[in-house]
Amino acid sequence: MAMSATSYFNVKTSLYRPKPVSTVRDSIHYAQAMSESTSEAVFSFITVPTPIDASRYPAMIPATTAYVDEYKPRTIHMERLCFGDKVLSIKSGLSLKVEVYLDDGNWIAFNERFGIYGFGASRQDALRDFQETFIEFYENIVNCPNENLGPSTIEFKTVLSSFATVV
Amino acid sequence: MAGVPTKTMRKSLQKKGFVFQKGIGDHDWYYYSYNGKEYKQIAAKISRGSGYKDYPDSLLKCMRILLHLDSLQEVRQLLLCPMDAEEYKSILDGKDLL
Repeated sequence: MAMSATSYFNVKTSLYRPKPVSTVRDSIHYAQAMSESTSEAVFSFITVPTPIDASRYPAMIPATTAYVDEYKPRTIHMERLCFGDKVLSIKSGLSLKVEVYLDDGNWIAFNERFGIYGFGASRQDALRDFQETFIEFYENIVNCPNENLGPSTIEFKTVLSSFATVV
Repeated sequence: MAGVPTKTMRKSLQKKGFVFQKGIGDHDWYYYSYNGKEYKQIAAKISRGSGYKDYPDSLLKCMRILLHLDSLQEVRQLLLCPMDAEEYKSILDGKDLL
């Protein structure tokens, strides 16, 4: 008589099943017992999970992806900077590259091109401080009359004002 | 390495030719001035916040670019005084900034 694949499997596994498996715990014990008593090859695909009692490890924080991501350095390309009622808009097609990272316990938002940085206790604080600093730096230079500035600063002022405008 | 106290930084910057300018938020600016002209792209931002009485290396590293110095060691030398005003001026001069 021809036997289907499913029924063949049932017959084969039933040979190794001394009693019905009712709970998960039973199935683990069953797998452990069987892997010890029968051929390793038959049950090698079964991995027995080690139970973890979380209350025994209060200092341990689960290393989930979200947790790792929270502290990962990030690069942001900003097209608009805001502080209070001021908005600084970066010229079309350009952006301000800002590296945000944790160093020495401080969150730092840093633009290498202009050397502007913001810092704080959180990523958001650092980005807020960065925007405030950049807008202030920009206005202090762009709004300063040329007669008060040195030649290299006048040149820098041209670069800065062609890069962004206050909206 | 130990942080640099902001009080020391402020004194040192003023000795080296920087002019104080009060900031809008919780920080102040120091802009470089030479021969009656301001070189505002040469600057330092110092926090007034009580949590930042000493600047750690992480912040000194960020200050390096606006101070137009090449290394963290030079920043520390400028802020902790071994580098005098003349030496700093010659560094800026060498970079065609003055």
